[in-house]
Amino acid sequence: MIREGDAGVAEGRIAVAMSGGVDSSVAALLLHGQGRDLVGLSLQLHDRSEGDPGRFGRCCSPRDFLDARRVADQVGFPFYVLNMEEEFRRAVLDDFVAEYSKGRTPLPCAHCNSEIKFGVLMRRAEGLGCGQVATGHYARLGRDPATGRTRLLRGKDREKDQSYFLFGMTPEQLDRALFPVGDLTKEEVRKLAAEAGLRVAHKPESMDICFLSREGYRGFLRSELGDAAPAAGEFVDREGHVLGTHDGVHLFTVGQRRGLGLSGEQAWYVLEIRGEKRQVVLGREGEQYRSSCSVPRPNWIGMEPPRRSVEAAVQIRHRHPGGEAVVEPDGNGSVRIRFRSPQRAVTPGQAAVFYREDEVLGGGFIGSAH
Amino acid sequence: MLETYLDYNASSPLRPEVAAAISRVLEHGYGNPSSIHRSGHRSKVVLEAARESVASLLGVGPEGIVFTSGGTEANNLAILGAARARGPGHIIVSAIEHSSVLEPLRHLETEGYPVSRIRPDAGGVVDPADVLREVQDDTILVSLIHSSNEVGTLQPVAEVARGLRPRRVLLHTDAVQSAGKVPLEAGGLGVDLLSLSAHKMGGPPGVGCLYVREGVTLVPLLRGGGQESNRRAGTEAVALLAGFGAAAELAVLELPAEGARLRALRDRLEEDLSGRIPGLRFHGRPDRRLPNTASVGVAGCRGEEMVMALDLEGIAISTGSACSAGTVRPSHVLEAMGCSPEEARSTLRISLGRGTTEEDLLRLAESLCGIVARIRGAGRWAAVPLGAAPGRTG
Repeated sequence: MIREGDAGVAEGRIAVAMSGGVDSSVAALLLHGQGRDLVGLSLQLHDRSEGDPGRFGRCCSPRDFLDARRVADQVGFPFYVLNMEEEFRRAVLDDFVAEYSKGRTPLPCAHCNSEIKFGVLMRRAEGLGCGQVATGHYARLGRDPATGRTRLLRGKDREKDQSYFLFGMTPEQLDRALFPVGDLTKEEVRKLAAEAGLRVAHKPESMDICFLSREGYRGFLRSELGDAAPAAGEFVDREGHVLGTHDGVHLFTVGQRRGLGLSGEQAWYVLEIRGEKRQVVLGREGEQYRSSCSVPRPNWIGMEPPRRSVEAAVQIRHRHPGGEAVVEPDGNGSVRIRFRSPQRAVTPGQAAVFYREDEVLGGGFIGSAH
Repeated sequence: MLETYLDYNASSPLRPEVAAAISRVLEHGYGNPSSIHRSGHRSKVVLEAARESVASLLGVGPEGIVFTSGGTEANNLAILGAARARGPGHIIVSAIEHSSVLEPLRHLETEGYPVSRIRPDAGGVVDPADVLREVQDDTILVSLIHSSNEVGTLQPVAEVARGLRPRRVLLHTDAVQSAGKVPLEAGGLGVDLLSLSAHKMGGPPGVGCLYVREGVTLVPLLRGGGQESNRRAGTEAVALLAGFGAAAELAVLELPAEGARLRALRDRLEEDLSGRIPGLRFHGRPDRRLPNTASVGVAGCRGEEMVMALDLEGIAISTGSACSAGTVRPSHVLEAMGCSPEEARSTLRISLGRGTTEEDLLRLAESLCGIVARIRGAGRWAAVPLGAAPGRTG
């Protein structure tokens, strides 16, 4: 079941997690072209049969499942929809709501990858006789010849790279994962889909968090939290002067400028959110830069947990170019990141992922920024 | 891949004789059975022959058969049609009905009809005394499924009918799953309304019927032409109904022997499985079941997963859960029988039929053994929640 060598060739059946989009469809197409035995699986993550049908975003729409089903039918492999509503709620939605309630900005895709796609799905796929799970992520896998360890690398298409969201994968998960489109650009993926006549070749991209509807995260939190939403609080400046009031810390994210409802010539930015004090700290342009942050208990992929400081490029949000930094272990399994130059909007709840060139060394969620 | 079909309760493969009957009508271009001309006349003859065949399966006269688009419409017509004809009043139903009975009732509740739901015992059988005790002065209708589509338990319809006889209460039974599997005499049962579906008994999907005892009035669901004695408007699907008739004739002919054959096969399968897989629980009282249905809970395995894994090996069965649009809710039938949601979710329904052989069942048992072992062993390396992993840190 474990992959042999760098090519990632293994015997046995592969589960392809299919969203109905072009990336996972082409992932399946490529594996099928290699003569692999595939099972297509789409994940039902919300019960759409009850309540307002617009409550959740486009994710898990019957339309997407039908697209995936048709691709499976056209390419020629079996396809099923797996129900994971309960697991998704526990692993992803509950965390999402809890983090915002604490004034942090969660990263649900990272939880979904680690706990749903390469967690629950990988276990269920094993029950279906699948030793590996393939997805349409733009990331690459390699093997360290010295240690035999599976390496996680940025996707070839740097624009589309999704390795940031995969930092939490364990060695066991990486050994059983396949990212067939990681060596391709989006353009190449679309071209392959079009050449194969897949109906999803020109399907528009889903950019946002999959379970959010047009109402965005605020609408989602409103329906999830109801009366349990965080209470109103104060806007303060760095010295603690009260600047105004707000409707709850869950409505803000570090770095935010718009929608603060404060007047004045100069723009205010959210510098910090103090969940317990219900305070949102505001400042002016230039004040939202931080030179260090804590990352409790990161996951290490490309190296053993270090005893001494390591140099890395640390990416603190999706599409952030990465800032040169020193990653300092504290001896208790957590690290402090010291950036060479201050970074804008270092946001608690987002991930800090440590790279050496294209390789993911490790990563974790940002605890606090200083 | 070799295909083993063991999901006859979901839909049974079309019998060749049935396909031939349907093709005959389609190929010869019959007209509208309500038309005056010879083409219409030919259709009318076919239609009425089918009605007689279905009626004789139920041991009733053909005038009592109202053809519908299937079991769901028959159940809707029975429930909504009877309730609206009798005016607002109390309705009694078992908790293990098909959703095409439960949902119209839920709708009627919003219109002011009080509904009582009677739970079965742990063996999946409703006590007739529980039903009769619930009858009140304003009770207008009782609906009791003839056999559970999920666990196959036969319900005491005749006993309830006897108990209701002195009262002015209508009795409907959804016999969709029983037709062709056990003898079904609507007259002998003493019911007022009885639903059938063609594709559960070797006929085509898309047609069914409601038997309506003489003197029972229904408010129609579909209004239009005067078809089906003003009880169901719309040009009859003559070709499919010819197939329904052919399936009914086959059922009458084959039932006694076929029932015994399926029972022997099913019992052997259950024995075989119990001997080979630990942690099984068979649902439904063994002495009160359809001969073709086995409902089995497999501890530690999700129903949908086993069904998918079996499908990958070319074996078609289903879960004990009612699935719709990708949603899996624990079966309301198993829950009513006292199963936990977890037990209900780990249940398989195996349903045999005309084409089932001993080999099919050996194959199923063999495959299921391997699959259960694999699923129970899966995920030993299970992932821990992200951010809460103390094990992988310095």
